[in-house]
Amino acid sequence: MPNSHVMSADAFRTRSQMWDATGMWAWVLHRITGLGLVFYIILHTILMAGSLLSGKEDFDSTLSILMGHPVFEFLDILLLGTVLYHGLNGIRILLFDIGIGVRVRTQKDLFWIFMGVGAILWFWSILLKLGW
Amino acid sequence: MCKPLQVKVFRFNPESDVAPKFDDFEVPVFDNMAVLDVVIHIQNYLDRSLSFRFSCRIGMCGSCAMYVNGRARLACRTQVSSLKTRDITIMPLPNFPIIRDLVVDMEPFFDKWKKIKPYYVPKRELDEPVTVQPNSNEREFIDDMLDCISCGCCYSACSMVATNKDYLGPAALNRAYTLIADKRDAIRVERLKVVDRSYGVWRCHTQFNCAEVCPKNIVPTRSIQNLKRRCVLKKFGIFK
Amino acid sequence: MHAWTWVLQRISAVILIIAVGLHIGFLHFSNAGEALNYGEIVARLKTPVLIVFDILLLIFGLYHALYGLYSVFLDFDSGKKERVVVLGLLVCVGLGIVGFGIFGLLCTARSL
Repeated sequence: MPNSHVMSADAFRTRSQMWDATGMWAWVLHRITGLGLVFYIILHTILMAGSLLSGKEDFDSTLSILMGHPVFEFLDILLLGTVLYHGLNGIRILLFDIGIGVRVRTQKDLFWIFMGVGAILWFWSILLKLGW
Repeated sequence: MCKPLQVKVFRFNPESDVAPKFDDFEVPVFDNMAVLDVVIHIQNYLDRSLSFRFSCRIGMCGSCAMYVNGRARLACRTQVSSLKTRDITIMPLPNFPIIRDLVVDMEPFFDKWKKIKPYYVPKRELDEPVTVQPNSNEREFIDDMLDCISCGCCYSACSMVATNKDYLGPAALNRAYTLIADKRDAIRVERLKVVDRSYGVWRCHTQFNCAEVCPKNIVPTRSIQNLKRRCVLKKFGIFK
Repeated sequence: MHAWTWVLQRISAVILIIAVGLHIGFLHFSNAGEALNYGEIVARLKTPVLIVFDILLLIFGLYHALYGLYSVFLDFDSGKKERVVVLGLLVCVGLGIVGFGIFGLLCTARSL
């Protein structure tokens, strides 16, 4: 019975991952934020173009909700964090593409440096938003 | 003396078991004990039916890779003391079909290894041997990447391999780069065509899991990044 | 195909880092706390450069987004037929949204 045991074994394999690796989590977050932004950019384009096309009144009332309501203010801050993460980790990935930082330790250092910058920018923009 | 190790070992025999289970063993510790010594002790004194693979015991044959405490490692090169705990969980390498207990089927790994034609093909038309200076950047880069013992650690740690069964994986791509970077190789362009596919270099998203686990400290990501650049250069007609 | 689309993904990434930064800065932080109104948008669209900027932002943004989505799809096992269908669908969605966005922008710009 050539390979019959291997055939049945193929039905089972473990899917364990590297739960303690910074690089993988950076990628997982990049992907989640990316998917969120795909959803957002489509919604944003349709909503903006749509309300511009339906005229002054509609546009102004839509915008006063989107830029005035506390829930949307909160979502806006969340969106900003998402953009900052995706953008800054994106710069890290672009650096790898031109051959900078492609080492196990360096890529982690780069990640934390960019996250530090991101946290500062996010905090600063939240303060700006609150009108400080 | 030291307290014994509490070892959990993955057990699965596809011929008789419906589902895998974990067996618990108590293993006494000795100085400089490696994870391989742990499983050998279990097989010798506690359960003779435990299956695992090993050969050289000095980290050069690449057959004893296991998933130990959440990481793919060479059992022979992993000191028990380096795990910093007395609780050890040993599983077969992820992403591979399981033959029995800790023994995995390396077939998919080597099928992909074969796809990139892992052997050097000399240029026929050369009368004089091409010299690659031993201290050149190129030589040094290739030398680092040649240390691969094809143990499968990187392949098992890669989340892209986990989701895409066709992805060539870090080891095969790294091997491909060592040959493509070699000026004396006759089928570089052909090799580059094999890796310039959706399931080739373009599935790598620089997560560095492969580099993280490599017992030889190779960074396959670097090779893959270089391959991506060469693929692009080829499209622009710069790489012949 | 992948080398070209991958390079374009990286080029669009570089452009987006700058363009999205400017977009957010101009539209949301130059007058923090106040809602934008129709008049401001129309006034802004009097400058042709800004129309071009918005259109480019739209095109690169959607390319980057949808190629990213396609890349997620490719990370999982797929058949040749599925790949063609998904790619076709994404191209249609992309063209549709870019078209609608540009239409919206140009109509607003013309209604000065």
